[in-house]
Amino acid sequence: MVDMGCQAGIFAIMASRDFALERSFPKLRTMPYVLTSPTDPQYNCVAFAVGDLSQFWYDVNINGYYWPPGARSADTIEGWKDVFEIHGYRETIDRSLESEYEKIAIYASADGPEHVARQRASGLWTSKAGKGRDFEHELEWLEGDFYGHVVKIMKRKCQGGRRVLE
Amino acid sequence: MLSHSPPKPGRTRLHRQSPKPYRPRRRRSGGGLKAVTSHFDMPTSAVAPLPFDSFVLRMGRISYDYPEREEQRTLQNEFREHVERWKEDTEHYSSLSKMIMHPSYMRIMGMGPAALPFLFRELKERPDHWFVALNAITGLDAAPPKSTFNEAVSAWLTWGAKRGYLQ
Repeated sequence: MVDMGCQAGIFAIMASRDFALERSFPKLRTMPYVLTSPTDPQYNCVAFAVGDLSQFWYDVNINGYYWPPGARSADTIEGWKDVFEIHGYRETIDRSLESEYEKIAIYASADGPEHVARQRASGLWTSKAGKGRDFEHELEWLEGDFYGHVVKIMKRKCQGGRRVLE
Repeated sequence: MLSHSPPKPGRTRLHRQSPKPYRPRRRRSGGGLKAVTSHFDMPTSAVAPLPFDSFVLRMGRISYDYPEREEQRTLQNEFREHVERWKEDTEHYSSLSKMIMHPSYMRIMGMGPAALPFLFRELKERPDHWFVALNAITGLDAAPPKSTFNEAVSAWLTWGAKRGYLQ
């Protein structure tokens, strides 16, 4: 029985970590990030940030993808900024929690926009890592070689007093 | 092999010859093996000639080799390696451009129509962003406009099944 309990504990610890995620974002190895979904290629970080779990948001001339009409190229930071402006967000420099506002943070590297995270009511940020898993984290934990650094914070008033997907 | 020298009175003498290994006779010109003749004195007409293309002597054993099947297995192995490498490297990409520019994705597209059976099986078992590759190889888009990822997967699998790419 003790052995079974130890094994169950080991499995619980292993299930709470994603080693692929930690390979991409080494800072996560020593941080208490929280996994909140399984891997799912259906949607990406942009879709997740606006609350869409059924489409992969990208600007490509092939069916199976979505990009809001009027937004510039998905390969540019301006294009990603356009997407969130279409959804009512405006730029800000303040990344702290403001209870009546929901915020997003765009990461970019020298190659262009890489990722966007959304702030939760707790103040923690939540992300969909590409085709991988959703997880909660602090903004700095994802900064590094893979996603670059946070280059833009945008905010909007909570719609009907509620946050996306909460 | 035993041979008998003429028996001397009152005594039988046996001479054991050292065993000789079986070696098929090779033709020097034209290459390969056309027919096998026994070490023993058997008329060649009694030995059926073996077709060259399907006969290879390896490691002292006779085995049959099917070149087309070997090529198929090699391509499938290569495909699988590239799929695993691509999946691992691009799992955390939100950019479709970066996904399809990955060398393994480009190599899979470069395999052309030969990769289609493998691609459709992969799409069925582990749906992923193969639409660009399928579009590039087939020259068409089987997914309807404004389809979601899952709808596009379903449309492509239906298209592939109708054309015999899925068992």
